[in-house]
Parts: sequence; structure tokens; C-alpha cells
Amino acid sequence: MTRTREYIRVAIQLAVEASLFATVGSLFWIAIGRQVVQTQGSTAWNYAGGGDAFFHFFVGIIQLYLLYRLVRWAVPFTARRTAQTVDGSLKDLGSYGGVRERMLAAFRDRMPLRTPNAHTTDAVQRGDQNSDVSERPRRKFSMPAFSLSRQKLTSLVGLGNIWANLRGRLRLHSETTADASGAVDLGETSESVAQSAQPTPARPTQPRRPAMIPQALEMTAAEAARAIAKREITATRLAEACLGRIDSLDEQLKAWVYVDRESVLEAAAAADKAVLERRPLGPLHGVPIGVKDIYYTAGIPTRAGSEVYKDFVPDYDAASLTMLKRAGALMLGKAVTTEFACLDPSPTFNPWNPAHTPGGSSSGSAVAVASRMCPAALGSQTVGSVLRPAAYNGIVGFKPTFGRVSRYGVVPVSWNLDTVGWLVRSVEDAALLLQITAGPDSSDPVSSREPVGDYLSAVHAPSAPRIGLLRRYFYENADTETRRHLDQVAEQLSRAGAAIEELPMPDSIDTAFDDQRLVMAVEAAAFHEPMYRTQAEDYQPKLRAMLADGLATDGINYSRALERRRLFTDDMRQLSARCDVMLTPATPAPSQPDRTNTGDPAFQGPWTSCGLPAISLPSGLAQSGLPMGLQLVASPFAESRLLSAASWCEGVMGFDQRPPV
Amino acid sequence: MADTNLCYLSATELGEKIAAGEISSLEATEAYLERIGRLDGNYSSYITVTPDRAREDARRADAEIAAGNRRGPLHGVPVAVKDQFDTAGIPTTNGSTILSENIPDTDATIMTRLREAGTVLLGKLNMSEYASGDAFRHPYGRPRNPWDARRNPGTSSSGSGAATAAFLCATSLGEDTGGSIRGPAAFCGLVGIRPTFGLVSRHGVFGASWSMDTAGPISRTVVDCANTLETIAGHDPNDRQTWDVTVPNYAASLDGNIQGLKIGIVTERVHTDANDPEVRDAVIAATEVLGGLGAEVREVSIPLIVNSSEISYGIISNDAAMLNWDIISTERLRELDHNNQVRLLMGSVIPATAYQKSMRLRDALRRQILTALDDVDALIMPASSVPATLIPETTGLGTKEDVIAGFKGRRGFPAPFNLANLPALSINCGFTASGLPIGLQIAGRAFDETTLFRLAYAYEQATDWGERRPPGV
Repeated sequence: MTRTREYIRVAIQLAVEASLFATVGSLFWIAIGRQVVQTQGSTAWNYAGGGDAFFHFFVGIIQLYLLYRLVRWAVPFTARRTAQTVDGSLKDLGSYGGVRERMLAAFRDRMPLRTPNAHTTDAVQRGDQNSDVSERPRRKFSMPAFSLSRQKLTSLVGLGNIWANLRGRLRLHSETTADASGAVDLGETSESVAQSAQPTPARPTQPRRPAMIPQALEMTAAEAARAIAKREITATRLAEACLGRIDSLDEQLKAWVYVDRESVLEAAAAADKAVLERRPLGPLHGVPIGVKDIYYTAGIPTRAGSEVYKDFVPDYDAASLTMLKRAGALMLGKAVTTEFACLDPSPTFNPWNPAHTPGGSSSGSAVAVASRMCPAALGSQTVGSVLRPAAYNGIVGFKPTFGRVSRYGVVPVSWNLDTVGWLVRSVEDAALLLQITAGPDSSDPVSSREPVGDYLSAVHAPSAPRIGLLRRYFYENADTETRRHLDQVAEQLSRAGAAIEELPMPDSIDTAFDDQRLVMAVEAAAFHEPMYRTQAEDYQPKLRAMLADGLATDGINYSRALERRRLFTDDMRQLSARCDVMLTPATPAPSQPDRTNTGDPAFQGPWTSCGLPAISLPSGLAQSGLPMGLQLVASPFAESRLLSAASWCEGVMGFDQRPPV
Repeated sequence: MADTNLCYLSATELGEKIAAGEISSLEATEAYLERIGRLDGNYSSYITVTPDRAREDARRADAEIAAGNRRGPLHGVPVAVKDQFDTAGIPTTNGSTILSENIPDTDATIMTRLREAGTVLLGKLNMSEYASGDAFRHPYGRPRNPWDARRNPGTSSSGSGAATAAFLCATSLGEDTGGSIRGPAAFCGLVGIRPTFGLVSRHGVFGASWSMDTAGPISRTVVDCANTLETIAGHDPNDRQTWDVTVPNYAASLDGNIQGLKIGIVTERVHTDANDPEVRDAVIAATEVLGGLGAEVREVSIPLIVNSSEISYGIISNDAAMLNWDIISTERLRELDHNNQVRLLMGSVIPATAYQKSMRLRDALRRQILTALDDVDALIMPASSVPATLIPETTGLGTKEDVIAGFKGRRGFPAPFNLANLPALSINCGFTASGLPIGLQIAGRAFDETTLFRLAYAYEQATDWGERRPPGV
């Protein structure tokens, strides 16, 4: 609602209030004052005796009550207005609405009738489905006692509303103290807040689960869709849980660039309506997903993490997002990306340990999914930007074959490399998103017409795969801890029935990564050239340097790199045919305590270069407490085989760790 | 003379007669060698004639056929190949003086296959220097078009076109990167096919562009062309860009029946002012013939096709510069033809970002062509917008403007299919008023050369352009 309308609304309500007060007062005076005058024979307000005293008292109460209502309305209104002003000038703080919500919460908490009690705590733990007042889809300005509907008129005197607001205030306060965000009352004795302040212990044996993550947020996307379809949970409740999680965590994690609560809750309400009306539901109906801020979103800013795009608002959705929405998904918000999905560091924090890099460029997507802000998020991979942050955050990252999923509507990095991918928490989710988005798109010249497989069946019928371990370039370049861990995992998989053999790696791997970087630099430069020529200073340093390199590269070196890449691709195609999936560590080392970069994509790069499908699965925790993972790769367009093998490995490894947030 | 009449037989007919014992391979070979000696001065189609090797091949062929071991339809048939293919013990110059002393040790894979098919090698054919269609100076003699000696026989497989048209070999091999088979086929009234990229091995072939080079036959009849292609096609482990596909017996499906095949006239390339009116009329008339034979004729639109020349020229120049970097970066550059120097130097300074944009356009063009091929089985357009051009007096690349204009050259007609890595064939579809051949181009899906041959064969049988011979030949 615009500010002008808000002011008008306020003015009307003040006028109503004042005139009601005047009317009521006048009626009393007319009814009683005349009597008084008649009794006393003067126009002065003279009272005598007990009846008059009671009347005096009664009128005083009414005046005080009206005054109280006025004050109670005026203070939050002022807080909101102040918060909006503050918000507006502090846009760069990142987390949308964070400041405003904090101030509102602070003001709410200073209101009277704030006593927590056991009753309310129980209500919270029951996961009470009736949303409390603060979480209800709220108009920008609400004044429950004074809008003119019949319902509101009956609560004009405010008695009914006092009770509702009382309940609301109590519940809000309990949740606020219980959340581990530290947004309002740092120092509250919340277990998880205390935990996050300590150094993470090595290899905890119990799954770390903070006390108050609603069960709803633990569900994978597929589980959530099933639950919504079976009416075990409403889309609204799930959306609110996600939004609440974002509210409480994103101050510290900074995974999101844009979240529009109202649109999400509107979409969730519409989804719930569809469920109630028994309309046919898509496979992701009502499930909120995050979207990396390089995906075009109609009418919603798409900044690609850059000053250069700070005012850009596309007018259509990316094709993959359209397909997910058509399957019923709700767009929760835009997740942080490094600038133009390239190599500069990310503002996001790793929920396992904020001193360590979250990886990138799909940092926001990975962190959001890992910290249970949403069950799934779209990312993209040009070198290693989906599988690496997935591995660093202990979740599943999936990159299909080049050309399997349309890239239409995604801000490009490199024509020959860019691949749409996603961050999820289960192999089933990876398959589900692939099933929805795979297929040709006439708007994307590189999208493939290969027939789409039945990926969900593949996941639900996992079988022990033939695994080809890649020692050269991969295993031998991992650090000691990673190698030992992979040995253990391989042992475990082998005992469970997988046939593991080592595969020889052809010589073309030696130049693959350097060729890929040259190709990426040239192709990014080709795209950015017009903007780089006029506003190079708006680019961050690493990207700026890469673009300069790309513009200075001559065609001969680029052509050579492409030719070598062609031969490398052919080699990898032949190699991948020798087993069901190839196995490498996901990364040379777990996430390092260095936020000036997003980690080493060396183990992902070759697969993006030759376009083979790949998945990273979390497999354990390092000494540092950060997650480790393994990477599985299959032949081009053999995603069914890849997902089946991944599903089997997922089952065998049984990884169930969570970050301590 | 009886001997010369041998030379007028098509390669397939000759092969049948040799197999039947009516003619010996040696007889045919001697007839051709005699003709070459007598007539090639007019056309300069050969760089190196190999009479010893030819006779040796012929004698072996005769012996094997006498023993009853016929290797295939081209057993004992004299062929000649573009001087771009390595031939063991025989100079392989790539059309340039730089390589005049180059004698490879091993055969190119396609030469090995020709040998295994029992063909007789008459010699190495003239070509544009380094397979560049722009080359002006021809150190081994200026090739001339048998239909009109003032005119070009087409580039860069010039000798393949001239020799085949002048009956100086039964069938020949050329190489097509930017149109270098279809150009000579069109200018000389022959049948030439650029096969799908990856069907024919490039091992032992001097490269021009690593993503577009394809060797292929230039012949006088469709059946000859089909048989020659079948001989050289197929997976080669030495060329990792060849696909492991089964090579069909193309000639077996040539029965003249094209009922139900759908052909698409490419609007932007047929109904355009870039075309000589006689070319356009001949192509349209050809489609009517095909329609009359039972094919369904439609119009298709491929908007990006009008930019094929620019897209292709940048890529090919750059790739050629990359392959020949060791020459460009040294003094040996001066030994090249002027136009080649210009082209290669230009290619070497193309920034990677420009090349990359060409690649993106190439992807987009390819997608448009493939989409068009969803609805039709083959695409029709001229192989060249004009008939054989006059041999130029000057290099034609004297100024910067010339070079820029070169980007928009006529190569835009064959170019789309090299960019899309799809097969395309050129067949004679008529003559201009001044007696110059006009080439009809038929292009199709990857590895679907059979459809192209079927259409070409049906057209050939329904028309009699092949009966006409160049003057004085």
C-alpha cells in the first residue's frame, strides 16, 4: 500500500475515533449532564454525591481507554514509519526488511502485557497452526480495531481485540527469544545461540539440531510437496516457516538479496486454495525454492551481484523458473551470487563456520538450502559453482549435461560452459527438479533434443553401480584428509556392493582446466564488452581482471583451446562409457578459513568443460568440522544412471549432519 | 578414338567393364595418361602426374580381377586427388611452393582406403594455395574451366573440378571447408558432395579449419559420387573427430524413387537479388522437376543464413592462421600468395571475443537449419549465386575495403552447411545462355547423405544436362 493511501487511512481512522469519542461523550452529557444541570440549575459541571462520582469515574475510564488506544496505535505506526525511513537509507545492509522487523519487534516487546508463560511455550512447541498476529499476512498498515468491517466494528470497544493481541504478543515474544538469531535479545539463554558462539567441535557424534527448527523446514522438496498434497501441512505454513527462518538467520548468513514476504505468502495462499479446491497439483506444488540472482524474474530485480546491473528488472522469467513454477513451486526470493557468477568472493557466510568460505558462485543458494531456509535453490555452474558450494555446505549439488536444461533467461557467463544446476538436500530432489526442467527449448540454441529420461524411477530403484575411481588429477591432488576420507567411503561403498576399479585418465586432462579458464575469460569478455568499456570500475577486481584478459586474448589461442577441449570431451565421453559413474572427491580440500575467495574449482571444472552430468553428495565431516563430499560423473545424457548410482550411494553413506544454526 | 571414348565413361561404368573383362584397367589408365599429356596444358588441373604409380596400380588391379577378387565398384578405376592429401612417396604440396619438396612417408587414411578399394592413382590435382579460395597466384599453373578457358573452375579444389569435367580422370577427391567441393562442382557442371563433418577421416589431410574440414568426391555422375564417398567414409581412430557410424551402400538406394520426400526451398537464398537471374530460374525449374517426380516442395525460411559469409569467414581465417602459425610467424610468410598472406594475417589478429561471437551466431544458425530440417528432408538453394567467374587480373585484395568486402563474399551460399556441420551436395541443374553450368545445392540432416543422393539421382535421370560436354574436350 502506498504511503499516501496509508496516511489517508490513518486520517480517516483518527477522525472516526475522534468523532466516536465526541459522539459518545456528547451522548453521555446529553443524557446525564442535562440531569445534572436540571438538578443544580447551572450549566457548570457540578456533581454531588455517589451517583455523580460513579459517572465521573466512568467517563474518565472511557477517556483514558480511548487515549490508550490512540497511543497504542500511534507508537507502532511511528516505529514502522521510522523503520521504513531507516530501511530505505540502509538498503545495502542486505537482508530485506531485517532492520524494519527488528525495530518493530523491539517496539512490540516494549509493550505491556508481555509476560511469558508455560501456556504460550506449549503453543509454540505444538507447532500451532494458527499463525500469530505478527506472522499473518499483514497489510503494510493495520489497525484491527478501527477498520470498518462488521467484524471489526464488533471489536470497536477493543475488548475482543485485547485478548487476541495479548495472545499474539505473548507468542511473538516466546518465539523471538527461542530463535537463535540474536536479532532482538542476544544473550538470551538459547542453546543454539550459545553453540554458535563457540568453536565448532570436531566430529560431533550426535546430529546437531538446534532446538527450534520447525519440522516443516527439515523436509526435502519432494517430501514437502507430498505433505502439501496430502494436506499434512499448508503451503502457507511452510512458506511462513521459511520466511521466519530467513528473518532469524539471514542477518548473520546473508544468503538472500531479495525476499518479498507478501508475494510469497500470496502465492502460498493461492497454492492452499488449489489444494482445497482439489485442483490437479504439480509435483512441486506449494514448495518454496530459492533462485540465484542471475535468473531473470519478471518484475523483480535481478542484480547478478553487481553494481552494473543494480537497476535491472527483467520483464520475463527464466525458462527453468517458469517450468518450476508451472510445477507448482513458489519463488521464495533471490539468493546471493558472486558478481556475475564469477570468481570474486561472496558476502554470504558458511553456516558450518562463518570464518570459512561458503563457496561460490551459488553461495546464497547453497547456504539457504544448508541452513534450512528453503528445501531447494537454483544455481548455475560455469566452472564449479554448483557442486563446490554444495560440498562446502554439506548438501547435494547437481549439474546436468550441457544443453539438457534450457539456459534461456539466465545472465550468461560463458557460452560454451554455462549450465543450469541446483542445490538440494536429497538425490530425489535433484531428480525431481531435473524431471521438471529437462528438455529442448527453441529459445536456447544450445539446448539439446535428446529424449528426456525417467529420472524419478531411476532414483527409486537404486542399484549398486560400477564405479570408476579417477586417481590422476583428482584423487592425487586432494589433501591427505580428503584422500583418506575417500578411501573410507570407497571401502564402505564397496562393502555394500559397488564394484570399484581405477580408471586411467588420458593426457588431455593436463590442459583441460587452463583451456577452460581461457575459454571462460574470452566468452565472458565477449558478453561484458559493451559494459566493461564504459564502466570497468564498477566491476569487482577479479572479474575485471578476467575480462581484461579475455579482451586481450587473440582468436588463435581461443581456437586452440576450443580444439583441445573438443578432443578432451571426446576422451571423457569414451572414459565415462567404461563404468556406470566415475568417482572423485568433490573438492581438493574442505572449505578453508579464507573468505577472500570461493575455494578451488579444479575438480568441477573438467566436467563443466566437457559437459558431462555430475552430482556432489555430502559424505562426512572434516577435522575442522566442515563437510566433505564426493563427486559422481556419468556419460552425456545419462542422468538416469547417474541419479540411480547417487541414490544408492546416498543410502549407503547415510549422511545426516546439519550446520549449527 | 576408342581409347579416348574410354575416358568418357563414368567411373562406375568403367569399373563394371573392367570387372567384366571388356577393358583392362591398364588400357583405361593409359588412355587417361595420354589425354592428360595432350590436354592438361589447357587446364593446369594436375600438379603431379604419377604414371609409374598409376601403371603399377592398374597392373595389380588387372591381376586381382583376373583372379576373381573384385574389391568394389571402383576397382581398377583411375582417380585423381587434390594435392592436400598425403600420399606416401609422392610430393604433396598443398598448392604452395613452401611445400614443393614435401614428400610424406605415409598415406592419408582416405588414400589408404582408395588403395584398398583398388583404384588407380593418376596424380595430384591443382588447388588454391593452402586451400584458400581467395588465392590469386597459382605456382603450379593457373587452373582453367573447361567450359570457358577465361573462367575459374571453382576453388579451392580447382584441379578436381577441371580434371573431372575435362575427362582427365574418372572421379576425383576434393576437400571442402568453406565450399571448396561444391564451388568447383557448380562451376564445372559436376556432382560434388560435402559429407557430414565427422564422416570422413581428416588424418593426413592438410587442415584449414579444425571444425569444418571435410574431404569428399567430385564426380561426373551421382552414382560415381556415391561410390567414391562410400569408399573413403567411415570411422578412423586416427581422427578423433570421426563418428562411429555405419557407412551405408549409398548406390544401392538409388532407384529414382523420391515419392514423399519433402524438400524445402530456402527463401532467403533462392528469392534474392544476390542471385544471377539465370541461376535463380534454373534452381526453381529444378525444384519443379523434383516436384514432378513426387517430392513435396515447400518454402522454408532460415533468417540467419544471409549472414553465413561473415560468420564463416572470420572463423575459417582464424583457424587457418592457427594451423599455419609456424609459417605466419616467420619469414616464410612472404612465400605465400599475397591474398593468403592478407587472409592469414587478418585471421591471426582477430580477437577471441570476435571469434566467440561468430561461434554463438554459428550455434544459432545451426539451430535454425536443424529446425527447418524438422519439417523437410532436404534444403534446396543454389550452390553458387553466379556461374563460373572470370579469372581475375589482380589479387582483388589491395585495400582494407577489399578485405572487409571479402567478408560478405559469395561464399555465403555454401557456408551455412559447413557452419552447421551438415552434408550438402551440388549437382548441375542447367546452363546459362553463354553455356556455363549452374549448380543446384541440396543439403540435409547429419549422416543422411542417402537422401541427398536419392534426390540428386532422380533429378539426374529426369534431365539430360550430363549429356553436354565442355567444348573441345
